[in-house]
Amino acid sequence: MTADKALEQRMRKMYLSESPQKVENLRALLADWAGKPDDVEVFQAFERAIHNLVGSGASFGIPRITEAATAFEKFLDWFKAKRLTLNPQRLAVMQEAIQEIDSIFIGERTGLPVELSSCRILTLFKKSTQ
Amino acid sequence: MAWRICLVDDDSDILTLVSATLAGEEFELITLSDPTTALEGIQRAQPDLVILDIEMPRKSGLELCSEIREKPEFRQMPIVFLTSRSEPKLKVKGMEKGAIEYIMKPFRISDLLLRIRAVLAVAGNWKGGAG
Repeated sequence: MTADKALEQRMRKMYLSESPQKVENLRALLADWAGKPDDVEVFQAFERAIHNLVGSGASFGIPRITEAATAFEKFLDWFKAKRLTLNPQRLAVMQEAIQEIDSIFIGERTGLPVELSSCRILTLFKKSTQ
Repeated sequence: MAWRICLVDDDSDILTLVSATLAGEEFELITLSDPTTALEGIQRAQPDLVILDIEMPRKSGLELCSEIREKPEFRQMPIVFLTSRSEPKLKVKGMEKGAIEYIMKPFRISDLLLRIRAVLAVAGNWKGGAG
């Protein structure tokens, strides 16, 4: 095994070991936003957490996290552009999307196949913007 | 003598990954997670290369890039963006602000290393003898 490959595997393992905290952080930030839907800074904190997953997911060897977070980020763009507002239905969609991100992490940690994919997140988000 | 590199990124995962990638005798990496105080850190470090994220809280990498370029001592220093923002307009803006390379996240460790070495090979000796 090359040094780069060994480093990639070590980094991937470390990233996955911290993934439960990442998911909990997403849930907490979304709850903050739900509590203060008009607070721009609270929204930006949540958006940034999703944005960071876009960059880190595949960098740590988990491209499905980047795909899911990219779809999530595009959905959040609608809120940033003030074309959508937060309502209970959209909140539920995002909670479900975070659950899917958690499922991807669990699947990668355990090596077990996970039925859900980021495509489902995309579908959810599309429905929620119609 | 190791190349001294400053990395400014608010994402602790990326700081960890790049630190691990550049660990060794070839590079000395200084990580800065707060863009509002990063300029002071860069001035203290006097690096051979600065790597900036673009989307950061309170101050963007583009703003920080402009501030760095305003300092006479850093006019020639190579600046590289490391970002997940892929919009072509943003890339152009980054280059206009004075960056010489634009690396996309996500990245592969081996690719990042190659790109950094390439930038340093071309522009790393701006101080006249580093490296």
